[in-house]
Amino acid sequence: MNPLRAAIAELGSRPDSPRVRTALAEARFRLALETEPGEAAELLRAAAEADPFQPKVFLHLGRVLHREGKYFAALREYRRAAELVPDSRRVHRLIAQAEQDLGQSRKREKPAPDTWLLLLLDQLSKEHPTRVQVTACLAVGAEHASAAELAVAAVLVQAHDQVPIDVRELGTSHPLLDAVLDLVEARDPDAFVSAAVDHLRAQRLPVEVVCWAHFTKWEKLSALDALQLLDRYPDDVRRLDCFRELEIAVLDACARRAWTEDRPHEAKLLWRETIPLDPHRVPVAVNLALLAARTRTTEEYAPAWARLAELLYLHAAAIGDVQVMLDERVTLHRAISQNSRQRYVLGREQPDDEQLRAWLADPEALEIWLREWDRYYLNARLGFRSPTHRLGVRSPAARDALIRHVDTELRTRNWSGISVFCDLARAAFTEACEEPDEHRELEQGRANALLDEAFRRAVLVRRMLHVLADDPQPLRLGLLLARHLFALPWAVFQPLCVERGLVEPGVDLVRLLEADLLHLAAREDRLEALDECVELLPHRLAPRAFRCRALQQAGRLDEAYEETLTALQLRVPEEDVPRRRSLVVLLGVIGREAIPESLRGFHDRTSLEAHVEAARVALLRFPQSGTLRLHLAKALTLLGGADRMAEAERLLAEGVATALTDEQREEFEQGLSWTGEAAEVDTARRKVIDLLDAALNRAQDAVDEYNEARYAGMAYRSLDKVRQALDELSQALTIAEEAGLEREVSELEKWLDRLGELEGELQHRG
Amino acid sequence: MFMIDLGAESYYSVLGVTPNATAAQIRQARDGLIRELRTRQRREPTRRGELDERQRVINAAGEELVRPARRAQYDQENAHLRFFTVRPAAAPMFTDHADRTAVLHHALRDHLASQGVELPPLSDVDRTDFTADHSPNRLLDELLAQGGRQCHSTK
Repeated sequence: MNPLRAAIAELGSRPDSPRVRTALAEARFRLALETEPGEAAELLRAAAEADPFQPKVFLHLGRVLHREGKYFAALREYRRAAELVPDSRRVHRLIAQAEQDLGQSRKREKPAPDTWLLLLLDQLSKEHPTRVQVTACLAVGAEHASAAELAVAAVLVQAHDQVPIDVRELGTSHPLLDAVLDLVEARDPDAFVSAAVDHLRAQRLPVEVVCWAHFTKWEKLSALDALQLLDRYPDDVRRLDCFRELEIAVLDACARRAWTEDRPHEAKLLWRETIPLDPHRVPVAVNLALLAARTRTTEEYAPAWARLAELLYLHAAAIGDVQVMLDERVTLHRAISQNSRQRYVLGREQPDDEQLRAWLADPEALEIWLREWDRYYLNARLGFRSPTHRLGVRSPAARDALIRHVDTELRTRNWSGISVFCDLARAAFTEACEEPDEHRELEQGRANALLDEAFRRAVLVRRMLHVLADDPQPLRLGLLLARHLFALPWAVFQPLCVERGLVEPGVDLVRLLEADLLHLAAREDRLEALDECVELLPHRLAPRAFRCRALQQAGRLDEAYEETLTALQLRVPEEDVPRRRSLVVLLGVIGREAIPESLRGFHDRTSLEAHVEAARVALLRFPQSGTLRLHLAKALTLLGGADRMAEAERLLAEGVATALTDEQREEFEQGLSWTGEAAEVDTARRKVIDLLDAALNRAQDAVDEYNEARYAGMAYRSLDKVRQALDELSQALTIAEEAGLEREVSELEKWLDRLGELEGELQHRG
Repeated sequence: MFMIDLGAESYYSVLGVTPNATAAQIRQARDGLIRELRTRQRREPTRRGELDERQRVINAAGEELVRPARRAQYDQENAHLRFFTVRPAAAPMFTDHADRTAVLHHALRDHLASQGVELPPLSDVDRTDFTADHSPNRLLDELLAQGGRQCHSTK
């Protein structure tokens, strides 16, 4: 075991005291100096906690962070060290170096033996170094530095094209500097290549210096000459990574020159030549995409821009960090979205209806505006360090909406690595629900701006939906707009919008936006559009109702029936409850339409019987069609007969049991009572008819007997029969009158008169 | 087919400057254009209305771009202006002074080190040996010495 680790373990087990604490801090400090950066930072933080008055602990913590490129964090630690030792030159030098690495300007400083090279590097990092400062640094270096160190400085000065200093005047001699000057002063390209290869093979120069010298010296060659010159290097040199970078740099310089001098096709060829050298270089993809836009080459435009986007996501996926190239992605998507908008809307002003109509007439531009803005929004959300702002609102609903949005907008792309990126994004959104929120205040302004922008876009989309109402097929574009609009969780954002004064407190933003789309859907009869509408608003009954209606209108009765029943089983928001009634009506229409058209009407008993049979079949097919059930029950009662009456009653009783709404149940109950009355009437009618038939038969017998015998005694016998018939008729008349059978009453009265006359005749003869 | 429009008019194109122009360059461009317009307004009185409108556009563009806050907002709302510009594809050491200086400095140091010439570290950030920063601590040093002895006796 490392003695320092053993000592830390031993000290950790001892009772806490100032002596133990300082020893523990020192042990951790010493261990941090020899361990890897991650553990070193932890040890130094622990040491600072144990002994917070040791400047060296903060200095080294800053140094560890500085080496990892965490310059702001490093500066914070250096400044804490400076608070403890304000006069420490060492601490201030590190502060200056961290500021320099952050790109912050520093005050001019007089070079010293331990700072001259640092200051020189600072000057040479600038586009226009201060000559006096460079000279002063070199003077101190010449006095105090070794020959090798001074040679390095001289080469760096030589590498800067804006420092007119002759490094030979430094009076230093070193093989490194001599080799560089040999290259810089080469007379012609062949001599240069020959010297460069010699220096490389003899290991007098690093390849980076040779590549820089080549690039600087032969930058102005024509593309052809520049490429031929690169070909003169032997294969062992050309295989070096740095040489490959030189080749790309040469090709790129020539390409950019061709672009500036209006030779885009040459530029395209040259940039394409860099792809085999590095297929994943983003600037090349940007330039080729711009080139396709500039030359308006239709077949190259889409692949070029898709490749650029693919690369921006691929780099992040490859590194496993969504933050990689995030700014580029945000800018790319935003830029394309804005460019699309500006084709129809100039400046910041809200577009008028005419501009909106023109924009809507260009669905491609519209879709690009919508799609690219969505991708911009997703990346902008990923860019927040605060988990609250990353989600918009810290809630599972917001998280789920973003994950869905990523899957819809990005995962479906056929780009290399996009599924890996989507998984990373999903993880970033998922983790946001659990992470501590330390940067919320810091990023509040940016988050507000993003929400405002999203809201303004929603308002603009809403206006487009209104303008679309005049369109003959409004849902086509309406769905496109709504799909992008509803990708954002407006229900979750509602309180934020109210808080920001974007929406009145009483306004339900989601219902408002949904109502606009439903208004368009109400006029639509194309099934595919309505399918999409149902998919978009699965919780609303209206689009399902529109879809069922369209199915029914298309003659797809079975599907319409099934869908309607499914829709009626949904739990729907309050405002959709009235829609249930229209769906119940639709079921009736579906049932009625199931009766063949030729059998829908009836004019006599035979056609009524055929109609009833067809209605029975239709009801078997669509048992929940309430109107059909009622209709069949009525038709059955019209036909009459105990069996039919019983069937009608059964149908209506089933209807009461299976009614879909209270209203429908009431209708069946009314039908049931009405059928009961009809059944009584029907029984009365049957009795009346039986009695009439019996009376007429009896009267006929009486007449026949009398006609056969023709004697007075027979007249009495026939008279008796006629009187019996008259009794039967009177009985039937009473029943008919009680049952309200008017037709039968009138018929019976006629027969009573006639039999009355017959009775008188027989009395007279007898 | 929808294609981005690289030539779309912007406040920058109105003034004839690039999106990377400094405030001074923007002011200079605006003043130059206004001067030129005034001369034309005097010479071409029949086109007064058209030239007045042009002057209004130039002034609006200038107003927007010379004020840093408004320019920042304009740039944010018009991200394409900066994004849609050709950029160097070469490694930064070929196009950027700071990067070139850093790359060459490291390459030269490594090269010399490979030849056995160690240059002094540039600063604490590059140093690796910090034993001089150890502070004497009696308790710790005793523990380390005991540990060393135990280790020795075990051997």
